[in-house]
Amino acid sequence: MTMWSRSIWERNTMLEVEGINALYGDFHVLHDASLSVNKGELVAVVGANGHGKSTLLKAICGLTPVKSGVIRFGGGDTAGLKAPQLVGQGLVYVAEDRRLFPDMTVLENLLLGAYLPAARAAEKHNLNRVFSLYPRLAERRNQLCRSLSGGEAQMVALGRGLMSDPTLLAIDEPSLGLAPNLTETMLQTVSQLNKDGLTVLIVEQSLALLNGMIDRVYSIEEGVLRETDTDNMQEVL
Amino acid sequence: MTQILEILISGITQGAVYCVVAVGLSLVYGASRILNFAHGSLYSLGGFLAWYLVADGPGLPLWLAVLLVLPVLALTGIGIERAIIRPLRGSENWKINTIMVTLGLAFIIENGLQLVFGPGTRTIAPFVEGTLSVGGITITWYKLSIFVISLALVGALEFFLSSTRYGQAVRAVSQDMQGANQVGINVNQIFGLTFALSVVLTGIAGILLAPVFLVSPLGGWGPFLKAFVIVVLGGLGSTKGAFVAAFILAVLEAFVIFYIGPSWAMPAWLLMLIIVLMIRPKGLFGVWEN
Repeated sequence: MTMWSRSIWERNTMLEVEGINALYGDFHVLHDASLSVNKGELVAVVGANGHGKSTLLKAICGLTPVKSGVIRFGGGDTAGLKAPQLVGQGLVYVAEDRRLFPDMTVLENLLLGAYLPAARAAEKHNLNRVFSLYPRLAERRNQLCRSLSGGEAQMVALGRGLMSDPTLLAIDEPSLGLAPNLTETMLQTVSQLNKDGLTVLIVEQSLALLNGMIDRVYSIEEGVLRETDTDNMQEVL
Repeated sequence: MTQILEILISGITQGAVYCVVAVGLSLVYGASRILNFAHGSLYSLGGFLAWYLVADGPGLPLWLAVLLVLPVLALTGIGIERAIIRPLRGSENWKINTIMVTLGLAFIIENGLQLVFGPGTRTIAPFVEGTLSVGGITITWYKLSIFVISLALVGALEFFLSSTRYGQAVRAVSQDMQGANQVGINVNQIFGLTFALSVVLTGIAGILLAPVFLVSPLGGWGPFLKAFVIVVLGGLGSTKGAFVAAFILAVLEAFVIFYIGPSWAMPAWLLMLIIVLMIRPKGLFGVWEN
């Protein structure tokens, strides 16, 4: 019985984080944080600024070191791996501050998303997908990224993430610096991508923004992570 | 009129070689924000290695010597990044630390060269002799050749940066290191690559200029200082800036040398640098940030 349920469980769990601790300088940011994301889910981590949301996502994606704990992605232990290796396995991070290459064009930025061999095999297909998702990026493909508006930059950031051919897309506070209507459009796109089969782990300050689109939610407070049901969260925040 | 044209041509041909040295310095700074103070000593190293193979040791033809020196220079660049730059990266004050360490490396290379080859100056015979005269303007075939080779090298670098996968990765790393990490670029590998290219470029310049400026253990400081002024004027980290600035300064130098005297060349450069930095603190095309 145990064996059986375990095999089912393993098949569906894409990402599993167990008791990780991370520091920012000397500051202990994450305390024994645990979470899991199943295949096809849209999972949110919600919390106020400075409580470790970004650090959590960066730790999972190999962009900041993990002091202790276990991270499993696609079944294998990935706690010691750096971002480039994880991107190759399909775990892709979209940064809150976009992290575009400002003196390169929209197209160059997108194509760099498909830098690794695995993603390059799907480069054409994914580029068409991004351009049909955001026709505006197709129009501005030869424009330098430093001249884009905030909304367009966020489109490129998400588009570049998709170009990496992710199996799990980790999106760090996409609403940051965006006007409310642009945030809404952005989150609708994320929701649509999820409905089309992409597994998503998203971090946001406010649960209200994510209303109705998420499967499960964790709250984070001073580096402590708790799974909460969405109704309770509403009251907490 | 002919004279002015001749000075202009002399400046432009010189500018192309300066450009090769400066672009290498700028490439490394752009990608890794490291100012390599051993850049000039590596210029000397290239000259000495070629001189040894051509004139002192086995007496190889120059082209074969260059072919043999190239991988040595590339491996030297990779080795420097791996052994002394990477361990310091991320440490406190790493920018200052890497400057001190590369300065130390410069002394090690210089003294190593003196130890092995002695303190004297050396020269490599030019691979072409004679002069070309067109409409009263005379230029040596050698100067013309190194001009063409230098332009080809810089052109090849630009092509690499703009049109190849690894070149795009170099630009990505120089524009946003975390962003580069996020798309799967192995940043350390790119640092190694830029150091390799940089040392190859400055080493080749050392070989090309050996017949003109001679090779000596301390002879790299002049080109380094010039490359440094060019890179700051053009904007730290911008290869395009280095390209433009190299020609501006080389032409200025040619005129100053002719009309005022050779010892005024560097003061004129520094004056130009001060004026440009007063108007544009980041240089012409700088990526420098605080």
